[in-house]
Amino acid sequence: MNMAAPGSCDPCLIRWIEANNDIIATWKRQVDQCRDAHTESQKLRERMDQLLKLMRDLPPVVPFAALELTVTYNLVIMELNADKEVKEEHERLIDETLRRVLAAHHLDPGGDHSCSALWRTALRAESLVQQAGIVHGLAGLQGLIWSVQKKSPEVLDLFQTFSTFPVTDRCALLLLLRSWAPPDEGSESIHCVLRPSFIKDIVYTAVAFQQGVEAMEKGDHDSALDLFQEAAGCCGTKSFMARIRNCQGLCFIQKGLPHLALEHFKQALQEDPKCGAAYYNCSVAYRRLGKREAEVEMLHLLKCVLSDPKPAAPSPRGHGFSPISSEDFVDVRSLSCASLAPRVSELQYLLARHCFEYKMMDEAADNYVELLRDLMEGSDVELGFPSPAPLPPVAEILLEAAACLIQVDRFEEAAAACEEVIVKTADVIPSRILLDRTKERDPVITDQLNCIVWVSAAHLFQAKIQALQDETKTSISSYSRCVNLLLKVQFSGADAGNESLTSPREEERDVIDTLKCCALIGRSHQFLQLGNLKEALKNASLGLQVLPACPEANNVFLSSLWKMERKKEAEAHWQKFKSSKSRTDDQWQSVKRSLPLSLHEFVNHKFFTNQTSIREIRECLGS
Amino acid sequence: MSVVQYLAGLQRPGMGITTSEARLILRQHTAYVSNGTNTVHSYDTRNRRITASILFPAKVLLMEWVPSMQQLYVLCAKSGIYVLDLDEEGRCLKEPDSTKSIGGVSIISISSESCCVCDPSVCSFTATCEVLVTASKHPNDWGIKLYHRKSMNGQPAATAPFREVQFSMKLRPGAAQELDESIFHPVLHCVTPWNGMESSDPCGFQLERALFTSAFGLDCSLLDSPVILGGFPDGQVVCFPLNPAGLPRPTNSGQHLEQVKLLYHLEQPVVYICATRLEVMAGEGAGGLASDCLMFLGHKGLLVRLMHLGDTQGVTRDFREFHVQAPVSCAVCSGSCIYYSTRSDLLSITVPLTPKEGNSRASQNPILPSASHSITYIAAMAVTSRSAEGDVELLALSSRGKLMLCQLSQGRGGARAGLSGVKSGKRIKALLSGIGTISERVSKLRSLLAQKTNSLMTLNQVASLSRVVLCAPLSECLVHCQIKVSWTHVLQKSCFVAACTLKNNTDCVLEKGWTLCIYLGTECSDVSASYTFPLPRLLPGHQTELYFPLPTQQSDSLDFPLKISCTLFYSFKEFAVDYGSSINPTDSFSPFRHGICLPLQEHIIDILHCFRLNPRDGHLVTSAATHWDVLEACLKISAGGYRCIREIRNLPEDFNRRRLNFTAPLKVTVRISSLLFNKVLQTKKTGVSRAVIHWLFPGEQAENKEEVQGLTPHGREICLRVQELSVEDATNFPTTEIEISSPHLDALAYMHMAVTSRIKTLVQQYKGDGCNPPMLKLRNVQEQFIARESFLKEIQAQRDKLCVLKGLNSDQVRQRLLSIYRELRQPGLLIF
Repeated sequence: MNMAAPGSCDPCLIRWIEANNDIIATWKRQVDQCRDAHTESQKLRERMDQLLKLMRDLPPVVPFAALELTVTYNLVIMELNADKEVKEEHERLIDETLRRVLAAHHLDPGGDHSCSALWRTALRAESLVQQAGIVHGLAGLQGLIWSVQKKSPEVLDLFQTFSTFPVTDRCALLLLLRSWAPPDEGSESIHCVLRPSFIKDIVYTAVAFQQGVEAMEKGDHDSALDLFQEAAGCCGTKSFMARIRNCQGLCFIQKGLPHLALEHFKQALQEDPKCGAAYYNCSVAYRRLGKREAEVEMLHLLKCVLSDPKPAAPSPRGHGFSPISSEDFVDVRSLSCASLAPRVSELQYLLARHCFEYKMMDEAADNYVELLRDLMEGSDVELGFPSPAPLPPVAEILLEAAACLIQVDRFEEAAAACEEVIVKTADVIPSRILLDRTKERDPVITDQLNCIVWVSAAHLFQAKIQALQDETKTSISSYSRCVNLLLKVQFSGADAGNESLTSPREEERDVIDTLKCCALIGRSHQFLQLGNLKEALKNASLGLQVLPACPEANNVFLSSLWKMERKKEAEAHWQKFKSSKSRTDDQWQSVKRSLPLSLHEFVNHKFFTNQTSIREIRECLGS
Repeated sequence: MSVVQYLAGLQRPGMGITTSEARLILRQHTAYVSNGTNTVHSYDTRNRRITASILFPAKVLLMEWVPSMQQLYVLCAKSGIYVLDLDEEGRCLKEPDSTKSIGGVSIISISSESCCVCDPSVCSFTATCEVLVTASKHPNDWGIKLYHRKSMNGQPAATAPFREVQFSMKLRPGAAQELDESIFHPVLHCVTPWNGMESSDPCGFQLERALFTSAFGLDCSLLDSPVILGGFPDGQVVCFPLNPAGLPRPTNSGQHLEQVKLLYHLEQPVVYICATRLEVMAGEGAGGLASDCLMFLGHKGLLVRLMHLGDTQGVTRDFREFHVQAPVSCAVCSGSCIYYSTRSDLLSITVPLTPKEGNSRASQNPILPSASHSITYIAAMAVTSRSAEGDVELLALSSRGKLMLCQLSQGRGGARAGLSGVKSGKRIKALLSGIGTISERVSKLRSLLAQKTNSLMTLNQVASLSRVVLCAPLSECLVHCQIKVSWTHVLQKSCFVAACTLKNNTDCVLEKGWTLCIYLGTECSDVSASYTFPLPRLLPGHQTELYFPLPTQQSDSLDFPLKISCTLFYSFKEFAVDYGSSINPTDSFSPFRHGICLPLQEHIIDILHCFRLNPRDGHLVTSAATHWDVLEACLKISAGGYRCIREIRNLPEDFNRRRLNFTAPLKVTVRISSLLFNKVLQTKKTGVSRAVIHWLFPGEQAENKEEVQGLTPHGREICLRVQELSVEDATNFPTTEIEISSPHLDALAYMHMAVTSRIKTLVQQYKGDGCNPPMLKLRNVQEQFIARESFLKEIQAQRDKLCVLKGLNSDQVRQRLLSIYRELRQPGLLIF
């Protein structure tokens, strides 16, 4: 852009141009020297602001219009560089300059004095053609500000001016921006802090990303991918690029393409090794792929990143450095949603849980203990943004920890965890809960039901611990408490016996029945230890009635019959069990899927019966 | 029956104390009191005195005592929160900005260095569980910040908050302006679940586990996370756990954590939050320390009780609303009773327990009956003690700045309004009796007060009059006492009576109670007689007349000159009796000890004042009996005396006159320069002689006379003649002679003394008029002195001769003595 020289060699104009250029030169020199001096930047901003104020003391005249536009452009960019967020002051600066320039050129927007009308007038004015570059630059800044303020109609209207075809769809904004061709002629006499043509890339990237996040949240992953790809094609900081790649990966995960998601997550980590969301999403992708070790390793890496108090390394300066970037003009909430990463405590839980799931018991136990300690202490948690993996209720964490600790024979700690649940939850359990499966569930009743389940599970674990420590009678008492608690829950409504339903209420029913069954067969096993065969058989029979699909219930029942020398009955039951084994196995798998993690291991652990005895029994019956 | 003891006055100069400004907290036996100024007073409740006054840089809004750290936190308006580390005696551990002692009270000035949170927007706070929680008011929302307090090992507190929470205001329609003008501050408390053990430093309210879980969630209970409970002026009661892991979990990932949970909305400013135990179990031991109830009290009288509904399917939080009298300014809780102030009264209510589930709706009684304790204007209070019977002792600060100890007795279940009939009757009877007693006391006090007022007014008048009289110059007689003597007849007996005219020339009122004391005295004795006259009330310009006889009843004779002293006296006897003085009113009156004495004038009464002239022609008014007595006495001695007496009585008058004149009268003369008389008496018109007679005997009877005759009070005849002479000396000076003659020596002597004293007065008057003083004939004076000396010697010689020549011819001696006497009495002109 060849800016027309001022109409007259006004010494004031010349002096002001020199002042502007000096500020810009100092600014660029500071950037080139990689000096990150906040004070110096502030001084330069103040000088620029002072220069603009001096100009505004004079009435608007044409020879000074170009300089005023450039100074305003430079000042807004310098302010945005310092504030890293859009403020009303920035919009006010642009608006006032625009009005003065239009007044200097005697350009009247007509009856409409809105900002959009002013821009329409300015962008179409022939008298401003010679200052088109800087006018477009300012328009780009105005569009960015409106975009952050969610003023979509104004943004559309503004960039509509640049195109020859009308658009009404907000999604076509990118088309408008693509067709926008701001003049790339730099001013020779009046220097800019950023070439106006670069504004287009910043605007384009910010709008594309914003729209991509919105599409991703709506579930339109394909559109989101396209938009993110458009955003990734432009310039931006490494952290912003990492966010874009992360979002692309998320879209692929949602589409069921974890391999492709992994690729994008890795690209995100290459861009920004401190991108916590990328680590987490990687672990999710590995989980989808069944790669447990990789999943856990990713979580460990994320833990290291979150534990490191050092901030991310600054982006390299030099050629291509922009004082402003697209991420400065994206809604903070949108930005945060695109960078969801678990907090420290949540990450700790994920590690503990995954280790528990993958049978890495020792590591899981340590993680659970560390997590519980952190939870009790109450760490200073950043609560400003949501989390992709919120913690479950504390009672569930305690039960999972107890179950894990039992696996590694840390019985005292396990018992303490169970005791916590029992003591602090028992007071809120009513004497009876009647659940109508045909009606909507009150969240409060759900909470009460959960309390019953948790306390019952705690009693169950305590009974297990006592049984393992040969405290038979105490174990029987604990099993009894578990059963008595579960008996408070009564289900009513239609299809009470329909086991094919997989609604959440049926899952609750499955959990209740599994707990009841485990308690009964556990108590049966203890009676067997005491030699009370009659009670043992009775409890085993009850357990089998509660949950016929439970394989351990069958084993205990068989064992009880065998010890009572009722071998014919045992044989008959065995035959019956064999004939329906496939169906019961399916049922059992269905039930297991409903169970919380803490009960998974409980029901899988085969210590209810003497394995040798069962093998012998089966051999005898099989023969 | 409530008993109130006033302990101290902590008024704020110039204005009362509002509820939002009054603050009172207790720390064992010390009360910290703030009265809306920048001062916090430390009051020792055992010794009943103020021990210290702590001055802060700004007005004190809120205070809180943290027992575990022995710290006092104080919020100052538009400044921040200050923290003071105190020892067990209440002394600052850290050296304050300045300390001084006035009257046994330490004055401690605190500087900004003690400010731990410098945030002008803070309007409330609570310090608990190692955390300092502050609340700030923004245009449309409330802000809460959490700071780390100073840890037990003395590490400094963090200056920046480690967590910030904001939530929007929820105002009922039309309440925005009320909130802007609201004087209420947020009420913040910490709530923790009770862990079964008694703690020496409980972290705020300790709730039963079931209630805690119902109110704040199971996660908070499992984590034993303290929960901050806040009641705000817009009516919101919110809560949030200090442990962020206790926050309710979001239902979806990507959802923000709800950091603040709305527990209840009172739709009126929350003024009080408390936790207490309503249900007392039999044999309850340590379990009695946990509260089973949370209560929120609003300014407009809404009381919300939160309890846990045990063994209930579904919602176990039971919010129950009640209504009490409004407006509620402050409140305290003791057991199941809440004591609250409505400014016009102190009331108490008993919070009911949850009714049985079956009739929970039927027995709803939203309006709680309040018992009145008839104590007004309480702006802040705290419970000091509570007895097993439910009697409560409160320390309260009134809006007038009075620190009071209120002992409130509480009947079983609390005294309720809506008393039974019998109780109402008794109560009314007691009230009426009380009213009667008070009325009687008031009337007595009123009369006593009126009496005192009158006494003071009288004393004022007395003092004013005394001041005026005593300060006046001697020449001014503001209270003028004039004496006139006159003859009168009492029971056919002539006697002299003095008339005293007392005139009040002052501007003060001579109140009733004044006494005029008149003292009669002579040269021989100061007081020969005295009279006292109680005076009536004499207004300015008024006068009164009093009469008293001369001579007194004790003596028929008078010695002249007679000095009459007048004194005004006011006795304080009445005041001494009224005010229980030890003075016995029956004691002899001593004017100089128990009253005010104002000496007035002194008057000299000489024989001239008492001389009774012949009313017709100035001739002698004889008292025949007197004269006859002498002659008869003489004739009795001689032979044929009785025949001579009869014959004398039958003699014609001329003969009698001549016969009386046969006893040669004694004469004395006084010569004075006529010029003196002319100057002073202005004798041009009347002549010197008549002027002198008129001067000596003022009155119409003696006008235009040169000679007068009359009687003395004793009945002695005296004749006084004034004539002008030319002195046969070298100067030929005009002289006026006053000749006094009388057959009685005593009368003659009195008259001579009277005339000479008058002349002395005349000479002084002459001198006072500015004229040239009369000159003494010194030569004559010297001659007189020399002659008097010789006369004196001769008198002594003649007396000696009389003693020696006893019974011999003493007539010669007598004649010589008489002649000496005549010469003594006729010194000639000495003054001219």
